[in-house]
Amino acid sequence: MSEREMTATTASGDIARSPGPLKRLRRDNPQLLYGSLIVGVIVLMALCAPLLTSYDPTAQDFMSTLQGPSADHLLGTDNLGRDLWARLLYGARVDLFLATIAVVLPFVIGSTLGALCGYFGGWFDTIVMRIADIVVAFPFYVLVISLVFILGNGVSSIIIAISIVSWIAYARIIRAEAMVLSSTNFMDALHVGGLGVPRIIFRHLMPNVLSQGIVYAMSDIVANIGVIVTLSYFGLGIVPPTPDWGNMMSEGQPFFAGGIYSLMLIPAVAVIVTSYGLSMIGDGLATALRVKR
Amino acid sequence: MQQAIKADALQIEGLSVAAQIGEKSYKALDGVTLSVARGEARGLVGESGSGKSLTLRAVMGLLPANLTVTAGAIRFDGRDLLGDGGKLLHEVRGTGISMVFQEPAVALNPVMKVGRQIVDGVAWRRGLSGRQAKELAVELLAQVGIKDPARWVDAYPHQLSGGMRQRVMIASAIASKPDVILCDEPTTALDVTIQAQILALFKALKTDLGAGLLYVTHDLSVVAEFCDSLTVMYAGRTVEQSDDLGALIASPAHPYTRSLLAAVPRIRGPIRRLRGLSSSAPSLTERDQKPAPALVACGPGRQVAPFTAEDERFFARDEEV
Amino acid sequence: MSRFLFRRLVLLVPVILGTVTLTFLLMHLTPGDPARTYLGEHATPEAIAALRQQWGLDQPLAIQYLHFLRDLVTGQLGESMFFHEPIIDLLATRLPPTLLLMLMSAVLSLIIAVPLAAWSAVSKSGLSDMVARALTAVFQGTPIFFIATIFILVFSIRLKIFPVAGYGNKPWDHVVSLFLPALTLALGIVPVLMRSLRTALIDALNSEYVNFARAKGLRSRTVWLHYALRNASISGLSILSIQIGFLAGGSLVVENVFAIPGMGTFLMKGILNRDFPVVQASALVFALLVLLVYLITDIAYTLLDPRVRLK
Repeated sequence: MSEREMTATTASGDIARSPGPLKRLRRDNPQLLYGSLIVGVIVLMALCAPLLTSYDPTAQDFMSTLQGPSADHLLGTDNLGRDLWARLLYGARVDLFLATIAVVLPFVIGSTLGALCGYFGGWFDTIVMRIADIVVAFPFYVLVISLVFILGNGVSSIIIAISIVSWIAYARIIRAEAMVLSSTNFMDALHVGGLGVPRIIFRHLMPNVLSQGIVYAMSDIVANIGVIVTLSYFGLGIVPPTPDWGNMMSEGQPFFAGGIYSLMLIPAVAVIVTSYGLSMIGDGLATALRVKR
Repeated sequence: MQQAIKADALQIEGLSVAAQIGEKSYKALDGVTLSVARGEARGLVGESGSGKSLTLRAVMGLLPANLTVTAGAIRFDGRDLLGDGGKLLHEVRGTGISMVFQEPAVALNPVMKVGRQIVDGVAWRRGLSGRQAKELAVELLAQVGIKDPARWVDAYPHQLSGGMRQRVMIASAIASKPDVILCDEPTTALDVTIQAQILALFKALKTDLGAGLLYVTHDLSVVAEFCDSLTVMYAGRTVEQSDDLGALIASPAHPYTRSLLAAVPRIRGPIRRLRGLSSSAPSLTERDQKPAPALVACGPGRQVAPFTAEDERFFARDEEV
Repeated sequence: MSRFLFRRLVLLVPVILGTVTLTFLLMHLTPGDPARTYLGEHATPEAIAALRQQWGLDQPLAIQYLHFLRDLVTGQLGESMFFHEPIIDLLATRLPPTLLLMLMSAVLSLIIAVPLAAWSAVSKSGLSDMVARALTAVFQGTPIFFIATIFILVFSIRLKIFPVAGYGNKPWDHVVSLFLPALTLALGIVPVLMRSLRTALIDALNSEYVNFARAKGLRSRTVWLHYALRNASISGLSILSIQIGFLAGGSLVVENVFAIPGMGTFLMKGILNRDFPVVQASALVFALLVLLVYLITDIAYTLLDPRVRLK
């Protein structure tokens, strides 16, 4: 059999010789595949940072400031002679870790509250949803920045501030789904089957409605990266000298107008590529889990 | 008597429409042929999916994006509407030919006052002022039997009952005094008592306006009530037609027409089921892809599609249960 | 209409009260003592006690809350620690630039998104889809302050078309100064707006009422304006109103990049100066601003869609 014939059979989806999982993913859901590849590489690079560079991201070297890319410094150095490649890698650790934690926490709190609201309804639902209405009246950036100021700079403040605001989206998504589900016969059947309420919520309701939450979480991580680098850019987030894409951009900005673009551009590209990869995963997951957006 | 002076306002000849589904093309309409004269009310019957509504939409140039006319001619007063890239069609739409849609609840613009929707085409063409347009709208509303028209002219569609909405639709169709009105099951979405009122309105309008009506329905009792002539469609093809309704009903030539007529509920006699009105007609993708054979004359003003003995058995099988 | 308005206002009262309460609580979320935070590590106990008394922090929480409410109702938002001026007077100069910025960005986003949506709704080629994807990819993941920086570099520093920063003195100067900031914000919501408008337009174009309009032989301009776009604008408005929170929050960011003397820079100054009353007041004003816009869109909704009036 010639090579051309073989590809033809594969493309037509021969059941007897179905393509491998990767090929199938590339055909059915390229967004999920490429998104995961992009984000996977970035996460791996962040995790293996010490292996990929021998430089300390905070070590200053006034003998070699503002250098271009070289064999010594892959991406060059900043105005304090710090290695940009090292700062980029270690910055990824900080930002990605924070952005992820700041999704997990609201995800858990929000979906639990949402499920309880949707299932029980009544005064509990009313109170939680009114609080949600009040919190979302504040613009996201305004409330997060004010909260970080009030809680004090630092990693935990950022996580708490974001969590206070972003649990609401999950609560609303899960609540709406839970209300639909709890009114269908499915829940009645479980009830009659003698399952307790907590068991119903955690074993049956949650898995049923979580796929929506997971898809939303992807766009939420993108939003979190945005707000974290913005906080750092304004000097309210990650405190220098700890590297973070936001304070890298902030420190690079004065040179941007002067024609030295790389200092601000490199971390910016990192943010954009990461966000793009995460959005692709979100779109891909929406397709895979059949979530309408 | 009418045949002698019949001058067809609308002629559809060998109209074929192809539906593009994925990579493949299917025949949604195949050689549909019929004509309507001024003052004539022609019934167009067939089960759902037989292509009656599609025929109307093809005439109006309102086919969905995946449907295209592949062959045939649509002539208005002898001029081909498809010939010049749609210019003539655009000129004739809403002036020479107008259309009454099946569901006024979705066919009326929900955010525009009904008076304006009735006359916006005419007002633009004649350059009417706002006040003149409104007066015309009130006049038309009165003509279609809406009481207190001055009150309703500024209402929005959602404020009207289903029957009133259909009257508004009809008012808009007659606003330009067209020669032909295409009616796409105009009473199907309505309550039975309202249906009777709307039918009475059509009867009156037919005499008053002298327009030709092409009336799509699957209800033969409606046809019997006010149509002069009848065209029967099955699976995208014309199977039989007659300029004289009575002659066709008295002696249907095609086995499908026979089973169709047999399905009309009767008080006495065996209960019959109709092959055609059950869902056993071939779906679009299963249809015969051979070209439709030309209609043959079988009497004065009568034509029938050739059929085989097998067709005869196929349609006869369901006549008695 | 007035009854509708009244009911909406009544419904707003608990939310407004809630935002007021939340801003009150903000101050008390501070770990430790806001007076100490404000005065710094080396302040004497006497100075701290004096400030606590001035801010009323020595009173029970309930009393403080009541005082806070009383001050709000009488229009006193306290005095800025840093500027030594009543906050209400400072707000009066700070609010107009932010309002103009938000208005301009909403208008700009429509100017960009509506034609793009219309194009992609009728275009059969894949090009419009690619443009939509590219826009989404570029503007949804890029930090606002970075887009702003690039705009300043290209249009202000290199091409010298727009001022680098500030707000100008005359009305026209204001508009020119706010063009780049507004464009920055607008681009952030264009992808969302375009996608939903496109869906709404496709729905409208495939609707029976557009067929009805075409069957009447109307010009395609009329079919588009009065039938398709008119109906699509209803869902467009609701998407835009959802994005108002983004415009308000985003204005906090762009105002600081472009040095516009609005609410956003006011809040940020409050933060940098540890000026608690200013932070509190600006956060509250931002929230009230968003609620006000929701109210306005609610009213606009009833004008756009006659079906809501009866409900």
